[in-house]
Amino acid sequence: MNNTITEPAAIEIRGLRKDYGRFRLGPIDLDLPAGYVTGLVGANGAGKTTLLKSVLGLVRPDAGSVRQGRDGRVRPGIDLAGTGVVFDQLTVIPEWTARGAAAAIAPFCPRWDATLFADLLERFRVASDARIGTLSRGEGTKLSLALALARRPGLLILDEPTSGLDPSARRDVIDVFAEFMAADEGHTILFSTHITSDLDRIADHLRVLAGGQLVEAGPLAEVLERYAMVRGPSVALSAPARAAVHGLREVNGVFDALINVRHTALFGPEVLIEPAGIDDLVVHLGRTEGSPR
Amino acid sequence: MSGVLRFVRLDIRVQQATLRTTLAVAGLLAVLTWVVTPLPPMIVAIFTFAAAIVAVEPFRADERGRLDVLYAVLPVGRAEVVWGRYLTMLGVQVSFAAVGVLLAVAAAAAKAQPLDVGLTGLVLAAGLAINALVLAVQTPVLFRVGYARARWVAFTPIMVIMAIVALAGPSGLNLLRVASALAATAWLPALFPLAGLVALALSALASAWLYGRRDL
Amino acid sequence: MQVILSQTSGTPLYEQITEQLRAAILRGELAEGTQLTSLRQLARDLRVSLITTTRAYNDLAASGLIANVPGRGSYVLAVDREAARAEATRALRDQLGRAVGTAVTAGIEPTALHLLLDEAWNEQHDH
Repeated sequence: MNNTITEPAAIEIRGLRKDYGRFRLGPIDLDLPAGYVTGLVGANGAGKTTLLKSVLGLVRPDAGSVRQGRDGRVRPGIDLAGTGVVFDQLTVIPEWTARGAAAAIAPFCPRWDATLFADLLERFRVASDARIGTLSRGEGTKLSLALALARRPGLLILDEPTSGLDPSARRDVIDVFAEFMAADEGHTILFSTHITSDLDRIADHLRVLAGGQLVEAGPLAEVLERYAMVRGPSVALSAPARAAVHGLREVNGVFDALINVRHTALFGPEVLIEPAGIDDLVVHLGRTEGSPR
Repeated sequence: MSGVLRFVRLDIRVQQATLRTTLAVAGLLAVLTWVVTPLPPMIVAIFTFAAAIVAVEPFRADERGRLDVLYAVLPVGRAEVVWGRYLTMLGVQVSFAAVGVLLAVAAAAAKAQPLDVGLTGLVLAAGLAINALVLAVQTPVLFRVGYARARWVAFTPIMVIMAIVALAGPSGLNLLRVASALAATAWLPALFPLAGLVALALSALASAWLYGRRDL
Repeated sequence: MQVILSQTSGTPLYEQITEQLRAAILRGELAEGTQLTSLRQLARDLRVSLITTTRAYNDLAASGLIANVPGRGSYVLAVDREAARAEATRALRDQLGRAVGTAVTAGIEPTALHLLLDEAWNEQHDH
């Protein structure tokens, strides 16, 4: 008997659109599976932050809906009381201490766990009476994470939580994610990142944004298996091959590009075909927005 | 309503540092004023004026700490944030004015002079009303575009005061005579703060609508 | 029994988990009826995704080595020694076929090959 991966959506986005003039997000249809870690990737300016802000209600979309499954039904909007949020910049006053920030936020959070907050600070080696303005980037992020987790959320949404962190701090953050996921089968994480090595291990699902569009979605391993990287001499690129590749780059007569695995037959033995990584998807899918899969 | 009160508590935390500084500065100015123009009611004027100047500070703190985003991800509605902020502002206005009055009483006592209650009351009422007007105008702007893009509104109270002073100018003594006459009729000045409250309430409604639509 | 994952082996993570657990079960280190670490706990312990551990356990269940009981957990099943032996024999045949191919290409004699086999066997048993 097998465990089937059932995927009720924690968050359901339909037809989301936001127009900023020079940049347009959407229309986006996206499901965030409950109980899993989903990585959201894309180049800078692809729309990751706008998407997350739309989900959280920070930004009003021009069209579309965001709904969340809770209490057995699908309801409009997000339940902020059960959501922990971390942005890549701190959202607290620099003069506050860590303890002060917690005291400011706790009254709004019905499930606030002061013990958990203190434990996390200790583990992260952030002094509870340290002025937030004096914290390093890594410490600041870890404080944000502690503040988010102490709310005992069921859903964690993070925008580039590990950017600017040294490898040791990143490891700490990933460890905390792993424990959060183990704590309850309903716990869900959505995080956007450039640092795809973080996703390689702990992400269950992947969503790829490029030019404001969702260009790939699915379980991580499956999505990667749909693609391959090809490298070789430019002369080996036939016209049909040229048309079929994503994000072709040519330098000094050598090319590299991303292809769908069903197109590998377009290439001969003089090219190198290798499995694609998440970085490859971000780089090459981003260069040809809206290209057919 | 509890969301509003919860936000007020948060807002006080946000403003604590700034308020203490401003109170100290106002106190210093009051001492100076008393030395230069020994008129206790002026002390009340200084403190009420200071409260108007400091009204933009919470918005500056919001911008510095990206607190608008914090408020938005906490389970508190945008309208509750607005009403909470207005309540805090009102509290600050009244507190500053009260301190001003207390100091004016102390100053009069120190000089062994009777305090001109009528004039003090008039200055208080007028001060609160003018502040309310200034806040009613500038706060919706601050909620809509944030401190950085609305810095110019910080000058509104100064401009209003200067306009009044400029208008009064040469007929300053006349103004004082009119003021004393008004002070004699106790009930008229009492209307000023009331009008101010109405202006603030309308302003809050406008702010709630504008802030609710703002992209953060 | 600890699963230890290699970052650089090139073998997919789920496969490493499957192989190590399979070996432990066939060795008898994980006795019949033993409850395995839950999917989520294992994901946390190894710092991998839930889908990875799920896939590993599914593969083990497909091989008949464990049973995944919804709501209760995963349990080691009785090892069918016959079937395990037959499967191992099949795998060995493949592996030996490749080894022989390598030897022939390099011009290595059967006796040398036998020596290599003995060496490898002794090395294993020294651990």
